[in-house]
Amino acid sequence: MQSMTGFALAAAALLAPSALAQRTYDQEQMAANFEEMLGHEWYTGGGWTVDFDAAKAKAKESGLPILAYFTRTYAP
Amino acid sequence: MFSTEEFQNWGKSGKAVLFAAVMTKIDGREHDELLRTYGFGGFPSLAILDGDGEMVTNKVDRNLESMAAKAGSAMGYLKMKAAAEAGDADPAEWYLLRLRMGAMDFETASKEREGISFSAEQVAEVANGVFALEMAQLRSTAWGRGSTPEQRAAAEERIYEAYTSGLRLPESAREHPLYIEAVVSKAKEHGNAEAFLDVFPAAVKIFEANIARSESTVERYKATLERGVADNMKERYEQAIEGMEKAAAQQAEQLADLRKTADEMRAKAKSGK
Repeated sequence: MQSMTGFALAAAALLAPSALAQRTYDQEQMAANFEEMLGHEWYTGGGWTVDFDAAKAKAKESGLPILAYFTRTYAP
Repeated sequence: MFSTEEFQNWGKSGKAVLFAAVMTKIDGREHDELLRTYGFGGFPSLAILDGDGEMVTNKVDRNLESMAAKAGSAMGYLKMKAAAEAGDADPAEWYLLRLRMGAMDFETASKEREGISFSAEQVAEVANGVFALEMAQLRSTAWGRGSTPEQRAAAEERIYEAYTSGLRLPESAREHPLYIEAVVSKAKEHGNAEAFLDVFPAAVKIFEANIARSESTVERYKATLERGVADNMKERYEQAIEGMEKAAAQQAEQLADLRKTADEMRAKAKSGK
């Protein structure tokens, strides 16, 4: 019998990533995805930057830490 | 999470620089694969960095409380780190700060704890903090790839022992399925009604969430099939749907058993046995 935790593992294995994979990365689509993300409410409303060098410069100047959120705009 | 008014107000309050490290797969885009630089395994991930881009901690839970706490402590942490390296920091304070920032693993925390004298106020936080590290290690060893049933059984015993001795995980980790499952299972085995009933609500939430997730995934896969998929994918989707429905039914059955056990435990607690 599946446990509470075994369920998640079994469910994930049923349709392995390769079955859904879109392994080619159409550059126009990737650029469009990124553009769309930059317009999302979570990004525009929270004061985020996607510029790592600018984030580091601001952190150094202000003495603040950087909260880095690692995400992606494409399907694997 | 980041779209909430609460987070956005915090984000604009000047407590941290918010940096979205986005992997876009756009050819030639600078810093597109930062995730790999910091050794994260997947998305989404969170970290606190300093102004040089050095990692302060990657133990940041995806809730505002954790983010705010870690960001708030980060600069004080770096200052004390410099003092500690110069031999000029209080050992107990430095230990606690590293524990709070997730800057120690279980082995280091256990080893260093022995040589430090903590105040009465600090003792409980140290004990719970070290247990949280132990739990993180148990998760990867006893439930990781290649783990054995014996390792899992030993881990469940240890979790139950920690629970009954009064150790508690931080709020954000207290409803982790592995932890809840271990306490439920061992409490039932030992006839410990108090422990069982304490974690029973969390166990119900986990089962209900599993069932809901399964139903939602089945609907999504069915919709995908209706829209049309390649011939070689059709059977895989159908098998996945069948497997998910079966798994959800098993979870529902287990939830029913759990509720029955809870009734028995309540009756036991009421009778005082």
